[in-house]
Amino acid sequence: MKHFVIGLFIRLALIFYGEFHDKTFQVPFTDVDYKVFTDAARNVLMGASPYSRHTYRYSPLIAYVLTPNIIVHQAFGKVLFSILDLVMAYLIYRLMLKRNVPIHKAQLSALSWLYNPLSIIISTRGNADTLSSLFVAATLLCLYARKPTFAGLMHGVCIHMRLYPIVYSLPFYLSLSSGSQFSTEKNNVCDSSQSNSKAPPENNEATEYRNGFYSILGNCKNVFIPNKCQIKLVFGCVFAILTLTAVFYWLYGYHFLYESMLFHLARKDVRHNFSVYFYLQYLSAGAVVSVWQRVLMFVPQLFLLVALSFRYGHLFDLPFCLLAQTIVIVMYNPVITSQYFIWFLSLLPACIPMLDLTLKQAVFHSVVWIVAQLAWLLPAYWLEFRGEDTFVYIWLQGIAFFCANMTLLARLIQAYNPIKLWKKTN
Amino acid sequence: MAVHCNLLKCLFECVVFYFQVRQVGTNRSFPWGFAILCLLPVLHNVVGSRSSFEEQSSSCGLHATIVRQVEREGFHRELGSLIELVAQNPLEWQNCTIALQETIPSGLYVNQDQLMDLERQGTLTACPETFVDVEASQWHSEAFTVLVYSALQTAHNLLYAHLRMPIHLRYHAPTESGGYAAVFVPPPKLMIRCSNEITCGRKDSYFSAPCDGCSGPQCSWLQLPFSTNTPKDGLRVMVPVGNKSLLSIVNAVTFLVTGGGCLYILSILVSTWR
Repeated sequence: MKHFVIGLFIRLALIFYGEFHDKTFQVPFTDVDYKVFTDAARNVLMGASPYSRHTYRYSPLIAYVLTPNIIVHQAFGKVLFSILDLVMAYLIYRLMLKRNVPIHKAQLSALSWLYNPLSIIISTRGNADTLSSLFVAATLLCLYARKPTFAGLMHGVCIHMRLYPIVYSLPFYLSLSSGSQFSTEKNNVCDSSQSNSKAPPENNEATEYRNGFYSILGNCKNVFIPNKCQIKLVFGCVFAILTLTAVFYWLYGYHFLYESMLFHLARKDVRHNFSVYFYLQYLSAGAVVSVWQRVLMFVPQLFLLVALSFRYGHLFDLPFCLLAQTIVIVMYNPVITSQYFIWFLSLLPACIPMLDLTLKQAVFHSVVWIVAQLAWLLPAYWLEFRGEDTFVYIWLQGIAFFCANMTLLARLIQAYNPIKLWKKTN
Repeated sequence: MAVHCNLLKCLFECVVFYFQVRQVGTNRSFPWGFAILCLLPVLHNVVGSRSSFEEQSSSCGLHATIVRQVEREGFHRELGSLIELVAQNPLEWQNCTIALQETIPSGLYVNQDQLMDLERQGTLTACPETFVDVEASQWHSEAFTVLVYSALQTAHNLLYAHLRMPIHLRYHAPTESGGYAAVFVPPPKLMIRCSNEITCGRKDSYFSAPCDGCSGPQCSWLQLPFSTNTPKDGLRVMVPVGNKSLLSIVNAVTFLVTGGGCLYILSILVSTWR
């Protein structure tokens, strides 16, 4: 509780500083999109469409939620995001407890979000990406609480807010499967609705976990024929997406559909960014993109996402599954900006207790990740602010950054060891 | 008589130029080399453009010069314009506003939201006359115009304004050998409007344009001829472009890396499968 107050205090102090900074300095502290949100909120208040603000590419919900930006104070949204940050920390804590992580480790996970400089800066700059992370965490919590309909609804809202969580659908779906390699409990609530065993039998689970590979063939049927929970999940999700889409389509028409969905699907930005595909896209801009190029861009990502879903589609492994998948979609995305990193950083705290890493190793990997980013920033700075032709270096650093992330993902997979945790707790 | 006038004008130029150097010399980003260079075209104009001078004598006794340069490097620049009017009768021009109508070529853009912020801060009043797509590349864009407004400061018979408008470069199409592409910023149109009605000058040098913003009431503006350091085809700005001859190698390496990354992760997944 004490930490929540301190966390809130730090964030409020930064918001105050941001107000001061924006008035004093040329380069603003506030996120570019925050102004977009505010303008869109102003449009909404005036009865216009939020999409009449150019580059507003989000759900109208964000504009609605931020209308107090106009009525109350401009910094309202930042305070709201900061409070949501605290809620996120609490959700991480609850999530850990649901997974029988010892209390002190659960607290550690929550604190690592609460005091994470990145999460602090991102929420106080007024970036709305915390919002989608919050919905992801809420979906996970619903799944752990055995409420597939709510999980589906949350997931649907989450996809509506941000498109990327759509790749989590497969692991979510699989995690509710009756097949023993995916479910946490012997008597799954989805198969027999009367059994509601509170304590998961960890030992059995551990052995089953090991035998997962052998039972996978035998359980093919269970994987592919949906059970009650899976139907509820899918129903909730589809219902939420369809309702939200229909309502906003009715309100704002095609403009909504294009800006909040189609744009993100077809997004192709030739300007320099962290993506490994940046120079390739820029050089082939204007030219006809061949089919094989599209396939090559799409297929590795698809393989990895599906493989990770099946490998970690176990209810217990879900946070790690989402983390790995998010690293994959971010790294294979044709456009990467630094705000995308919050997508996987928000999932990291929930996985920390299951990672078999020493502090030294963890620090080492973090440093490598940050150095790889800085190494990209250097030629990008020379291009953008010095006007030098450093495209090739940016491309090479993009590749280096990609490799650094892939290595990091590989290390995480190798270090992921939930069995160790069970052994400790037992 | 004409020779006499020319000499007089030359004298004006020198005085004006002295002011320019003094004015902008206080600005830390103003390169002195540039100041000396810009003397040449200004003098050239003096000698070469007698016809424009004739127009000027009909321009209400105002003699205008604009010294232009693009400041800063990279994709985010500032278009600096020092506008100086030497008035024969400065008392007539006490409450005047000038406007520059800039033609922004397809290789550049201004950010409307940034300009609105600058207006709120009171630094600059400028607005594009059309919607500007700040994300589009050069090959998807067209030139557009921006109206920049400023009040005039007075020092004896000199009326001046120093404007700095942030401009941004668009990404240009890659070329066969890479390197740099050139963007040219053409000279602007200079207009003046005073609180007391101006009646001098020819009828056809009056224009109707918004009084002090993109929309709002229209006012009558007097267009002024001016001499400038800008070359005929405009100020040149260089922008780096991609090297198309590298496409095949970039293609190969990129897909090798992304494909390799995929296989690597899959192999790790298999090796950790218990």
